[in-house]
Amino acid sequence: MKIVIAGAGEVGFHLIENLSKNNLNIITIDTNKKVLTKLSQNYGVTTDHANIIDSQYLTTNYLDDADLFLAITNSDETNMIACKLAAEAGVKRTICRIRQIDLKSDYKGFSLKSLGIDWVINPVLLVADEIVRLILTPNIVDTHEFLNGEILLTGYRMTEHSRFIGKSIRELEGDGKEDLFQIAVIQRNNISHIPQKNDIIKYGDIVYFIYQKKDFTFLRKHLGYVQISAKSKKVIINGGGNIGLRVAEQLEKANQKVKIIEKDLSRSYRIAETLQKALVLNFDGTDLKKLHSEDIEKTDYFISVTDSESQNLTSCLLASKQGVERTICLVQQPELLQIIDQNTPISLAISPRILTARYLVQFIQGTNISSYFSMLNSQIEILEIHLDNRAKCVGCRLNEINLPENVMIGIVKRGNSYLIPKGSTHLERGDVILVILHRFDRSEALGFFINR
Amino acid sequence: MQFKTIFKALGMITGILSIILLIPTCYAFISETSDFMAFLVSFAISFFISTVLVFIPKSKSNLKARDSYALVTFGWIAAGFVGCLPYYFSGCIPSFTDAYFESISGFTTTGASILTDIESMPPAILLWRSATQWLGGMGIIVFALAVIPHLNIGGMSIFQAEVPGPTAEKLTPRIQDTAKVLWFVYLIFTVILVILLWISGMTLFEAINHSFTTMSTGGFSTSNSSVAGFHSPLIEWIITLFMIIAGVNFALHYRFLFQGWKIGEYTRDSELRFYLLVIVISITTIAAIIWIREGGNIATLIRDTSFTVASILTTTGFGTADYELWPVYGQFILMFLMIMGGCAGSTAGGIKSIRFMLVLKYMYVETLKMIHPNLIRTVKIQDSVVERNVLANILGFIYLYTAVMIVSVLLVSIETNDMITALGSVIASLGNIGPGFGTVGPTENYAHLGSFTKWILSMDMVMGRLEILTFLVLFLPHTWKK
Repeated sequence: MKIVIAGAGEVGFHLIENLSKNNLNIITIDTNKKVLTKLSQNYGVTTDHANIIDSQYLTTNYLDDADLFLAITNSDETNMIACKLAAEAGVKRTICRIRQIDLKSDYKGFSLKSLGIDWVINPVLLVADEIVRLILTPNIVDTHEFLNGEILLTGYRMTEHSRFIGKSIRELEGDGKEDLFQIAVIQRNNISHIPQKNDIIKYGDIVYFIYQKKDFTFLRKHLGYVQISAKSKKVIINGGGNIGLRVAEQLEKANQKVKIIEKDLSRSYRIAETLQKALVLNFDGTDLKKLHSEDIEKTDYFISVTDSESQNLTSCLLASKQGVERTICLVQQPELLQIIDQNTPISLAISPRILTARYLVQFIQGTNISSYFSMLNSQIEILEIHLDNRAKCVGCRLNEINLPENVMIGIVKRGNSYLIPKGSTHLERGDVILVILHRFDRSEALGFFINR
Repeated sequence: MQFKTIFKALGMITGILSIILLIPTCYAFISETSDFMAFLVSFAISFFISTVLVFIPKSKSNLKARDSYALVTFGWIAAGFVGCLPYYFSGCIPSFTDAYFESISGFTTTGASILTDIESMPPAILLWRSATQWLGGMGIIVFALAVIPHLNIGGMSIFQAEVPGPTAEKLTPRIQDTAKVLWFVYLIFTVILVILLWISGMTLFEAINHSFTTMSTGGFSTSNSSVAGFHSPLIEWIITLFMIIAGVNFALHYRFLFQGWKIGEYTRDSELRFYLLVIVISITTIAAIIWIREGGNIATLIRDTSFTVASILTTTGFGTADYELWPVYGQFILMFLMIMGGCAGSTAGGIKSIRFMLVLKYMYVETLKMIHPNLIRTVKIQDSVVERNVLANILGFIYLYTAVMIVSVLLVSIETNDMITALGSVIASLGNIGPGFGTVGPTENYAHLGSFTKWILSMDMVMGRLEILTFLVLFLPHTWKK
């Protein structure tokens, strides 16, 4: 598979770092020679020092047989033009990173397709939506979509409300609802593993479920999370930038009590014009006295999303010192993520670059793999695989093929219906399966499903 | 000051009015009443003056904002003079002060009258009296803009100076087209009302007169006891409804009628919702208090309170019940409604609902700031931000309105020895309502007041109609400096 990445900024760098292990043909284009040298030395990708919107360049090089084109430079306009040119040159799929312009919706007589863009990725929206999701569905740690959004992979944190604590996978499979979901991964103390029949779910675990989107409410109820989030929460957002504003807007719509702190006066007015009920406060988010006068100690969530990393860290630490249980901190440097998770009272750190890169990874497809997902900080991958008649497993029952221990089939799509596979399930030609596997078992497992 | 252009434009306005004067002149001729000559003389005088003024050459430079204000203010004062001529020459109103008072009360849609026996007046005079209100309702200058082609004077600033409300809305790209559109909507509603009143039992003459004075929220009637004289609940309800309609922003009516009959145009408008809420609360609380205290027929009670509340809030001033006999609560509510008035862009007077609504919102924000000292909050209407200078403008306007009220009460009290009457007459004149409190209440009239008082009240009416600033700006020395 051939991938062209335009822009080797932070996102590009992180993306390449993730992808380089996957044996793909990656070409990176940037105007910064230093970065390119570093990339080719560290990850062995092909680099090209050029300006991507030089139309001469795009039409004459690489692009006619590329499978995917990613325009992720820092300029929205450059990205849009680059995508248009790439599409003209014959690239199969283009992804455009757009930060300022709201291009989610198609307007009358205008579609992204006409700009040559197949998919828009907006880091601000990604981060903001992630934060909003964390607040509105607090037990959900992570969620991901497969098979065009029909299938969800959701990580639930097991809290005292959960009915599953203390039960083994075998017990759970015997309670009659096992046809509706599959437990794919259990994460305990930051280590993820694919569960075996005898594993017991413990308090504090993050359990990943694979299920159909329509069963979302059923699963929540089944887990025992029913009454939660009925009461509106008090949220303080520090930083009224694009992310802060978007989070405030979404939470406001969901009837949460939002206060948003912004240092800059004219920006404060600007967000006050956009927001309806949320209180816009004009002061420095590290000013403890003023935070006190806004009842910080009674706040459920403190989110710091200013442009300054140190400001975010400081204010989140201040907030947790004042007794705020859940603090969410926006960091730019990916390295900080792990330090924060383990060593500070800050409950969560979010990095837009990692989110973006992780989001982009799912578009990287193999011949029969149409979606790919690598879990954060772990060796576990989830692949969406099309079975054609050359695949070894077609026509066999699951318990007939000797899959490695750490490989599991999450869900099978046959025609328009989905089924949770059991040992006796047949695999047929045309099925789409979600395979959960350990990275080490990857090539061995793929041998069963893909004919190479 | 571009005096030449101003005088020329004044000539045009006088000319239009003199041509309109021909309508009652013809009516007087056909109905063969004695006032035919009076109308003819009035027409001749005003037409002569207008011809002289129109021949003044235009100044070379364009009108500045201050010229527009001067033109609009003088235009209205001049209209008062043209309007009083028939009353004076026909001998119906022998005193010139009284005739001018009656005329300006007509044009400003106040509806305060010095006539004690309306029914004895010749019909042509009554028609002219109603017609002045109808013309004044949508605005004389806006009318001039609509009918005179290529009247290249002032444009938006003229429009702004005359259309009530904090910001005038241009419905079409060209200001002349906006003027035409507004007059057209106004005409449609008037015609509908004429038909409705006619089939509900009024004569055609009465129906036309009452439609003129209802749609303009004026309040002149052809009967001594106002609308009560018809003894018809149906007529009272129709007029109640149309008074409320006339108190709504005509831009909304326009969008509803000409842009697809979407009821959302109305329901979305927050000023309209506020206005209707005030009406409903006023009617229910007043009716409830009267009913608890005195009992009586509920249907009549609701009809009377609805009619009176609509009549006072829209600053029309028709009467079916003597509200001075109501409990003090009801009277205070009415006094508040007189000061508040209808919606911006309607034919109603007063401070306007939108200004009250914005001030309420502003007060809420200021109170919230007491708890959150660093709060930044903008005042919004239907999701659009109200700029701070507009808010300052509104606060200033309300302050000025109060100041003008206080000064006028002081001046009026020189001749009038009754606090309630002094206050009531000023509120009723400044808000263009008509009936006030005390000896100028709904069953009395303004005839007994002194002539100095009448001049003060006449100017209050003009100030109220032009929303004070347009008028007061002429008292600034800056306006007159070269």
